[in-house]
Amino acid sequence: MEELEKMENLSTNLLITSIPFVEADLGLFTTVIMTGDEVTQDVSTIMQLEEAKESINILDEFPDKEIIFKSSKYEFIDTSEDKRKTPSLYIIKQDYNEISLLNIIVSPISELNITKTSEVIDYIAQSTAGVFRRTDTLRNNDSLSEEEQQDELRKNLRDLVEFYQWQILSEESLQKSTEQGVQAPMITNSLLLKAEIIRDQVQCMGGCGKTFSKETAPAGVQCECGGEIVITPPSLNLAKVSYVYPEGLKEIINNENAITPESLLMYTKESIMSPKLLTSLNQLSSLKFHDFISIPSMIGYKSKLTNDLINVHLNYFLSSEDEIYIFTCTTDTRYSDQRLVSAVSLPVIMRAFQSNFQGENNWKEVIQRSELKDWITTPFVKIKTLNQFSSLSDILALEIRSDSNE
Amino acid sequence: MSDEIKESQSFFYSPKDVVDVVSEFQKLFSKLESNIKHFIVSQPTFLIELRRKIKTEIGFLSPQKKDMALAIFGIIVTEDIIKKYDPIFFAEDISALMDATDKKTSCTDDEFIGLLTSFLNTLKTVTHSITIIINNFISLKSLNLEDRITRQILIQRHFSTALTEANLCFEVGEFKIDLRFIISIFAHIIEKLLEENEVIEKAKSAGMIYEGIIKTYPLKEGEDILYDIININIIESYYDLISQAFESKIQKRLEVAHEQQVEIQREFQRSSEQQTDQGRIEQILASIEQALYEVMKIQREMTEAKRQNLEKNIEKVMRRLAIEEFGVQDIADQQKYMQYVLDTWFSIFEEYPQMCLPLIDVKQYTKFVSDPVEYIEENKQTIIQQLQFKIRRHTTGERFTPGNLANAFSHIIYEITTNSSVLTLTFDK
Repeated sequence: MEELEKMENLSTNLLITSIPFVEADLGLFTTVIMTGDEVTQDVSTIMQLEEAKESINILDEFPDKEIIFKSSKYEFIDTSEDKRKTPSLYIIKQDYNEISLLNIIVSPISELNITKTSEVIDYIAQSTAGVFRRTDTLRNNDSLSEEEQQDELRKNLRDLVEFYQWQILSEESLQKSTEQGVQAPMITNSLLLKAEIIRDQVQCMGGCGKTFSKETAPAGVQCECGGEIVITPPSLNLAKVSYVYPEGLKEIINNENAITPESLLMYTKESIMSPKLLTSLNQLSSLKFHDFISIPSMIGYKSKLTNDLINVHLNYFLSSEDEIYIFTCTTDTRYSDQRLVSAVSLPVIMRAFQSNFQGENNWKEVIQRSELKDWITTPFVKIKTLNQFSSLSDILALEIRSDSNE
Repeated sequence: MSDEIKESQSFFYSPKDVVDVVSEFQKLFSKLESNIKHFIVSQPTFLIELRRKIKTEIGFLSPQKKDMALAIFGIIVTEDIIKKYDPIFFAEDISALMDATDKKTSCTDDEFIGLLTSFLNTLKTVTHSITIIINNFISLKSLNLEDRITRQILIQRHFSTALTEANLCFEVGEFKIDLRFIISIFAHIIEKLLEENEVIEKAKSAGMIYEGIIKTYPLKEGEDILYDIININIIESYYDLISQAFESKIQKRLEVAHEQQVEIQREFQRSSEQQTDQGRIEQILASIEQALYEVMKIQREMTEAKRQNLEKNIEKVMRRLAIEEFGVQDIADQQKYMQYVLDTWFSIFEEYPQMCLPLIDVKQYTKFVSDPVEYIEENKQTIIQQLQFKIRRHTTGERFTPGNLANAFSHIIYEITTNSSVLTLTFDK
């Protein structure tokens, strides 16, 4: 029991708020970091993490502008044992008017309820927007100084985050219980990604922010620029991809831009953690994960107009110490075509992958023996060359060409 | 302790259904509309008296609206819609209400009645929600939560929903209202409570509070300000006063909770005692199960060798149990051990009811065979007597020891399992 409490105190809860101040070019970033029930005061870590604001922007660059990123859950995998490890990592994003909130949780708790948690983040974003609107009005009336306004924002944000953290750790009301299902979604496509695991890198946390491999790293713990050199957790470099999709996907989705090979990959690609963010989090969190690779297990998107949900479910296969396959299924509540497969089959598909997949060679066989057997499977293409293919059928043509060459 | 915290989830405010809010509006609206004229005609003295009292406060109203307002106050008093409503407060509230809805300059008669309907319903709704919120507040405080957490629970799980509900009372009348006025209604009801509890001297009217809030809080609408407007105007202003007003109630609740805690602990000890008893019976059962199964289920013969083996096993278990419980091999509490033995027997009968046969009167056989479980249940006392009699017969000496109890036990089992009537009878499904 005491052990458990200790573990919980290792939970790090990070909230980066972006507020559109007129004076500042990029707006103001207010960051609150909590470890256990303590608020971190360390300014340098806060500064470091505000760089994570890059990720806020990246996550919204979709060809389909209507789709926005909501949340993602990551698992850490120890490649030497092929085992899932604590902590788990969650990213939740919420916008309210012009306020953007990015919440990152690194925690031993592996069963956070994303639906409920998103509601809480929603409330925090909304409330912060209200505090901002009031203090801004008062400031325009000259009844509040800029400094006082920032103090008020910070204080309120801190109160809200403290309560949020308390709900996770003490009350446990944001853990477990079933996720709320809106409507039975359909699986629209599936991917198999091959990624290289890049290890043994170090990074400068100072001004230059350079990454070095262990061999080329400057001797000692300091970079030439004076920054501290730290270990980078292993990161993933996506190499190849194969698509699985139903015949007639073009007619079903009826938006050519949304089904180009690049945009289909985007949903997964953008959620692979950037090495920089991972390194910063590893530095900050009391739970260390620099030996583990992080893989998303669920990524959630939302349609701004209709509140439809697009979720990517992921699984992995570790083929060697340096190579991993990531299997994804995208579910979407916007479509209900007969040619799609219901998400009810998702657990069966995931299980089939887990038990049958052995590598690239039996990939097609795995699909043919699963619930997706009627779908088209493309050959693997290098992700670097993906921009040469404007549609999925172009990739398929590759196979036909190579077949006829034989 | 941590379980106690988890209980906090069960304290929240759940608002009324929209349908109810709409029907309450319609009901009160038609009541006021149809009774105003009647009241003006039938109660002239009351109205003159009232007009004299609040003449200056409602001076801004047109003469016709004045009559309507006075009549509505009459209806409130005679029909007991709002209890103990001060006429001066009523006048101040109407003034603020007209300001908060931008109706001071132009307002039709229907709108005026509608506004008052919404206002009165809000007053009632808020009175109700505050009662629940204060009750939950006392419960939350008795969970020993930190104040910063309790404050957030009050804002997020109580006042936010209650404020939205109160706002709905105006929305159903198609009025757009300054949220600060609704907050003032909440503040007024809270002040009335504080006055009752003698924490403040005199509560202010909602109208009066509104005059103050609009000077300091600049925003009047938007879902985004729910948190902020409550935090500043309710929590920061009244949280400490409410804690102070209900301090004794909270203390009392804490004491009751503590007593319950002690009681629960006692219960727990008792039930765990029972559980260990259960464990003892199971241990004895385990030592004889094998033999019983062989004889009763697969028709192996009960032999003297088996009986001796049983005796040894049972004796071993009993000794161990005696050491476990009393630290010595000799059993001090004889009756208690007799009880274990008897309980063990009844557990055996559950599995093999036919083993009960030698213990019952021959005349009862048919009754027993037709429903052995019920029979055993009904005649438990007689069977116990028979068993005790048999056990005594097989034990030598005054006291029960693991040795002589095991000896008796195994002999009785031997006797029963070599009885041909027992062996021919089965209740297997």
